[in-house]
Amino acid sequence: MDLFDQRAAVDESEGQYGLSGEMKKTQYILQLLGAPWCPDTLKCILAAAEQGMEMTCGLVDSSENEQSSSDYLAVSEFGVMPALKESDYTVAGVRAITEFINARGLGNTLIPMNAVKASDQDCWIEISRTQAEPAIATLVAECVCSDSNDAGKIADAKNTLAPILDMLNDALGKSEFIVDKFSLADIHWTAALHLLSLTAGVDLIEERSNIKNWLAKIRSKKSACGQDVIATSFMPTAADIKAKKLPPIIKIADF
Amino acid sequence: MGLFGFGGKKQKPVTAGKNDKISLTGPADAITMKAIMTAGVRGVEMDINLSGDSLSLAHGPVSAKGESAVITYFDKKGTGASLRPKKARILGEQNYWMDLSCQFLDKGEKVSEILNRLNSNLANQEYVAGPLSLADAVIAGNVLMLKKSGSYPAGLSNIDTWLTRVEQQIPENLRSTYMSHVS
Repeated sequence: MDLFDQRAAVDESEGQYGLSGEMKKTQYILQLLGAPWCPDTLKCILAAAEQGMEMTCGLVDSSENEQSSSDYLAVSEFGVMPALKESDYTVAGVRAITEFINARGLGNTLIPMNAVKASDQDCWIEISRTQAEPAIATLVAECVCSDSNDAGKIADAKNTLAPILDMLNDALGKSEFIVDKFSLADIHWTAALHLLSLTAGVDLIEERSNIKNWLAKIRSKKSACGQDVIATSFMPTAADIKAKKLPPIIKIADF
Repeated sequence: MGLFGFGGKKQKPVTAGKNDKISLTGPADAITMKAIMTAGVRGVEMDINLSGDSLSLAHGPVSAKGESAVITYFDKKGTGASLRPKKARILGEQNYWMDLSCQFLDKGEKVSEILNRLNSNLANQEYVAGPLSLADAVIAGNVLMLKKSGSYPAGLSNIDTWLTRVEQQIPENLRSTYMSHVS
């Protein structure tokens, strides 16, 4: 039994989506290993919910360096987090998993066809990953994972984020979503800003009306594939993060 | 906006003209090497300027910054079909190797472990993720940068053969110029 089956086991009882013979396009329930404070894990959860893919989730405690354990390295050779399993196939890394789910899922693709828009999408994803998320990780570590609330570290992180969020706010003033239609860029930023909203950096969102309205819209919209599910409802609360708890299953109710 | 939403002004995406030439600017690092190899494999003609702090591209009114944005633009603008695999599992495999490239190889981390794994995979397959994909161009950029800096591990014969195979994908009229920038 591998770590997926230990931590994110699929309940094989009758009536489960994908196991009762009802499933049409997808054949298997996905299994995800990650952590609730990890934005990349949250992006995979959002992608699954948006694209109507059921998924069980299990914790790999990166705060205890569990991604370097032999059990985890057996499923993700170089310790890349998060990791996903679909039957006999495993893959790791946020880009691999979100695009795999996008291609496998029930909805239209979340990747723009137009060259400029696809390029813009990837640019916003890179800004989130390389510039915003390290600062958000500091805020989550200070305000949620521990109660250290180091004022200096919090101020530094907020100062780093302010100009980045100004750029995002400007972009959202020009279109409904980050790059025209709902895309993977929205998924990346939703995960990052969800974590930010649980910290002392929440005012950075409140002060920027376009970001605030966009996040409210994302938090109330139905999934991209038209299923009766709101993807952000699977996002962990601050209490979940403290308790190291991921949603056990991304359930698609109205399949 | 008219009835049923018709008649409203739809914002036209910015596009480059036929005569606009692409120019790529970036430092002589692994990220720029990856972009050059992607343009080469996709047959995209461009001017290359190895200077500046970060990777960027200009194409008429269009600009793109950063590795992912530039690589995606080249893939879309290249000749023939996109190199992004259509099948989900192969796409996942391509992106996994691209993630390894960004997360480790660009920083010189886990180089021998990752390249040994690739070398062993290439004993049974022609390209990184099965058919030729963006992962080949990207990892080739990393390998060429490691060779250039003298930190390429010895004895990876399958990678050497594969690298020649990837280089051959660059159209002849561009090959010598592009390879002179990355070798």
